[in-house]
Formats: sequence, C-alpha cells, structure tokens
Amino acid sequence: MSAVQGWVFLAVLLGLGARAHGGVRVGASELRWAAFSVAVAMLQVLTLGQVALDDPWCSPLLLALPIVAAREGDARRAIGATAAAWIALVVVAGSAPSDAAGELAQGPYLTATVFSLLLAGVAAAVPTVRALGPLLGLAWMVFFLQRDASLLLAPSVWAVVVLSVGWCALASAAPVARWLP
Amino acid sequence: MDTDSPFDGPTRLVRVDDGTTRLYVAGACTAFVVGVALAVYGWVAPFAHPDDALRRWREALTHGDITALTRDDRLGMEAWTHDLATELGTAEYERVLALHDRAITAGRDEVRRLRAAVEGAGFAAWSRLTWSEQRAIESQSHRTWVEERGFAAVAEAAVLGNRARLFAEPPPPDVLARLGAGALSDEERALLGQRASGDPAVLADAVLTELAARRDEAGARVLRRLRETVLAAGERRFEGLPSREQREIDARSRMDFLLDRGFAALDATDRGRVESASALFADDDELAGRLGVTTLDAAARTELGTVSRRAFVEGREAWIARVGLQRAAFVLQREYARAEVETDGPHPIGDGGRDLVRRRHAGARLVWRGRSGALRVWPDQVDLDWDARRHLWRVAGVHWSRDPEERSRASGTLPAPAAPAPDATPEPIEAPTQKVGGAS
Repeated sequence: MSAVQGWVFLAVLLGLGARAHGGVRVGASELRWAAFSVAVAMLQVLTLGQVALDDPWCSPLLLALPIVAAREGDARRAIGATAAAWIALVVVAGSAPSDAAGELAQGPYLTATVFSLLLAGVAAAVPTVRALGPLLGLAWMVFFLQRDASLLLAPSVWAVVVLSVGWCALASAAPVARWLP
Repeated sequence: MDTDSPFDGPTRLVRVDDGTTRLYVAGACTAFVVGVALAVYGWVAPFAHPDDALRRWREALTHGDITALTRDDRLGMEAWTHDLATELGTAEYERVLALHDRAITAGRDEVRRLRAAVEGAGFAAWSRLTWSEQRAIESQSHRTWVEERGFAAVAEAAVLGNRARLFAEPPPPDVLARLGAGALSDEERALLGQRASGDPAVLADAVLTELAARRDEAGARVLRRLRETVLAAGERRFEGLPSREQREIDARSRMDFLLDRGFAALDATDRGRVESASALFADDDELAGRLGVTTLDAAARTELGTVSRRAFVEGREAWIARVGLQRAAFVLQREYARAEVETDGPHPIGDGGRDLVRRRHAGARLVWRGRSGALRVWPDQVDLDWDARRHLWRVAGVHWSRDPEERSRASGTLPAPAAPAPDATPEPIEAPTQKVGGAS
C-alpha cells in the first residue's frame, strides 16, 4: 500500500469514526493543538531544516502530545486533538522548503500519525493503560523499533523518548495542566 | 484526597493528590536530566569512539546499505560524499566547458569563412540571371504565400482538394468538369455521365462533344473567378501582416536561391561538414562547436566527443553527479591507499588507545560544521578496507581491478591513481576547521 493510499484509508477511517460519533467537530481545543504542533514543527524547520521525530529538543513535545491529549479519558476528544495536531504537522513537514532533493518520505510520517492516534485512543479509552501516566511515553520506543530494531541501542532515540516522558509528567502536574488546551 | 485542591481536576493523566503532584514534577525533572544526558551522550559518542562510526559507515558502503548511511547522517557521511562529488564534478565541468568554448571560438572563424564562400557564390549565380528571371524568383515566395492563405480562406475553393489543383496550368480536366457542371441541365449531365462511363454507343456523338466543350468553357470561367477571389483574399491577409513579416516573405525565395546556389558551389569536403545552408546561417553555435572540435588536440576531441555545448549545458546536473562521483571515487582511492597502515593488534592501553592510534595513522577526523550542525567525518582520511573501496567504485560505475594496468585500461580517460610506495608514510593532511579529541 502506497503512502497516498494509506492517507486516504486513514482519512476514511477517521471520517467513519467521526460520523458514528456525531460528526466532525473542529473546536477551539483542536485548533489550539494544531497551532501548538505547527509552532513546534516550524521551530524544527527553522533550526534543522526539516520536521524530524528524532530531534531531542523539539520532538519530545510532539511525542508527548497524544498522551497529554488523552488525559481526560475522552477518546473522541483525544483522537480529534491528535489528528488535528499530527495532520497539521505533516502538512508543515510536506510544505517546508527543503534543500534536500526529492519529495517528503511520507511512509514514516503516516506510520507515526497512525501510531499517535492509536496511542491517544487506547490511552483515553482504557483506564488501565491511562493509569500508566507519563510512562506511556515509552510506548514510542515501539514506533522507533518498528522503524529499525537497531535503534534500541541508540542513545539519542532513548533521549527523545525519555524527554517525552518528562513532558508528559510535567503536563500531569496541575499548574501546568490548567494551561493546556 | 483533597478534592478542594486547585491541583485536582479532570485535567490529569491520573487523579493525584499534592504528594503525587510533587512526585510528577520530580519525575519530570529526572526525565529531563536523564534525557538531556542521553542526548548529549548520543551526540558525543561517535567522537569518543570514531572507529565505531567509521566501521558502521564502512559496512554500509560495503553492503550498499543506504538506510544505514542515512541513519548516520548526523555524522555527515552521505553529505560529505555528495559535497566532494559536487565539488570535483563542478571543477571538471568548468574545465570541459572551457574546452567547448575554445572549440566554439575556433569554429566561429570557420563558419565565417564558409558563410562568405556561400554568399559569394550565391550572388555570383544571381548576377548571371536575366532581369525577368530575377523578378520571377523574387515574386515566387510572395505568390506562394498569397495562394496558400487565400485557398485556406475561401470556402468554395476547398472542393478542389488542394491549392495545386486550383492553380495548375493547364487546369486538370476534372476540375473544369466539376466547376462547369452547373452550366448544364440534368439530362445533359446524365448524357455526359454515360460518355464518361465509356459506353461505345455514345462515345462518338458530336452533340456530346459539344456539350463537353460547353461545360469546360463554363468551368474555365468559374475557375478564373475563383482564382481571382482566392488571390484577392490572400492579398488582403498579406496586407494585414506587419511590414517586417511582409519583407521576410518577399525575400524568402531570393534568399533560398542564393543559399542553394552558394551551398552547391562549396567543395565536397565543406558540404560534408555542413549538412545544409540554413544550418550555416543559424544563430546558435551548434555548427561552430562541431567545426571547432577538429581544431583541438586529440585528447580534447576524445573528451568532448559528439556532445554539443548546448546539450552539455542542459545536462549539467547529471553530468556533475556522474563525473563527480567517478572523480570522488578516485580521490578516495588515492587517500585510502595512502592511509593503508597496520593499526590492528595489541595495544598497551586497550581499545580506546587503538582507536586513537588508528585515528592518527588513518588521519580520521571528526569535524564540526557549524551551520547544519552536522558532524563530518572526512572519508578520504579514513582507512576504508578493500570491500568498501570496491563497492564505492562499483557505485561510481568505475571498473576496478587489483592490476594497475588493467585498471588504467578499463577506466578510459580517467587517470589511474598512483600506487603509494610500500614504505610510504601518510602525508600530513590539512587541519580541519575544528578537531574533536586530542589525538588526531
């Protein structure tokens, strides 16, 4: 299945899910999540020249996003916010000017989007999983290992995952959580 | 649980009290410290153990594993090869482009000489014509243009099929028959139809012969009027043209005459070098380049081949990529051959010390490049092994053999790299912008 087919399949799946739960609703919360991920992605474009998931400074914010969005246990809101944020992220990744030749490698971005939606949905819908709290950030290691098993020994990837756990924990502390969308 | 606490509420991953909040904050701080430490370690690790990074790159090159190469892109391996190939390829491109320019400069003189010969012979042939022949030639292109445009503009003329049938002299019988058919009644047309079918009973009929003559006369009148209409329509279109185009059309037939006669007067050798007179007078430097190549020495001729300068410029990127990779392969080979020193074996301070010794002998350096934030390993100063080299040459499309003579033969015009003397010591390599580690 090509990346384009994958995006179409994902869009249909999200559309059917939204229809079953009363239609698509893009509220202020979703827009704020999207704006947040766009800001992070543009920061990456400015500093790295591209949107990357293995950058230890900005990527943990993106990886923590679906887990923080699932904190209320509302699967619909969590998936909506994650979808808005990650699709905005992919749009920035695809439209950012790049000095590298060739088009955006859509495969990894598609996989990461699907993984973040799954993470948000499962964390919001299953209380046992949600009870893991910030440690859910470690689940992103599954995504990286699915990309390449040898990343298990890559300290920079572990740094990204551990920092995402840190952001999740910070988002769980109440004063910070009140500022979140 | 303190339900009045401002720290409670639905905006939690889990419901917590104040103690748990402190735990979360502490956990976040710990995770940040550990994460930053890991990031710094992952960033610095390749410098601490350069052999690991180099070994991974060497394996990636050996197996043609692009994924592995890009995984280590932080080290700039792939970018480095690309930079080197682009730099060498661009230099080579500029050199060959200068050869093209030399050829064109020499070729322009030759083109000027041939043009003068063609013009001289053409005008000589023109001056031998009579006045009326010259006027006939001069009016030819104007007349043709007017006939073509007029024919296209007049719908009644289309029934004749094409312009040549309308203006043919004498007019074709079927054209007269077709145009004059309206002058006869239906019965007369039927009779003539029988005659046309070859019925022997009516063939010799004098009445029918007279009918046919009447039809042809009527056809000739219609044809004359039709020709006048077509020419008038064509002239109206000609008058609508800008004066520059009018002059071009009027001069075309005279110019064709001059060029054809002049070109025919060239000797056979020159005609063989120039395919047509119009190519000789074209504005581009295609012909000049082709003629000028013959003035260059044999090596330059071989190098330029049959590729024109325009095609060379249009294919610039691909040319630089291809030739740059070949040149980069040779540079790498030379540097690696220079760095072939024995670095394995026991070392009094263990692996770390052996790393340092290897780095010093192979000249491996890890260089910080500020803008992109990438760490660069300069592979021409790294002791790549035999397999890696062979793979690199295969990628570059260069035949490789252990035998220097066969290598030289197989690689065409590229110079065979000089083999280092057995006891050669690595030459000092220019200092990088910033060294990491104190041993290199």
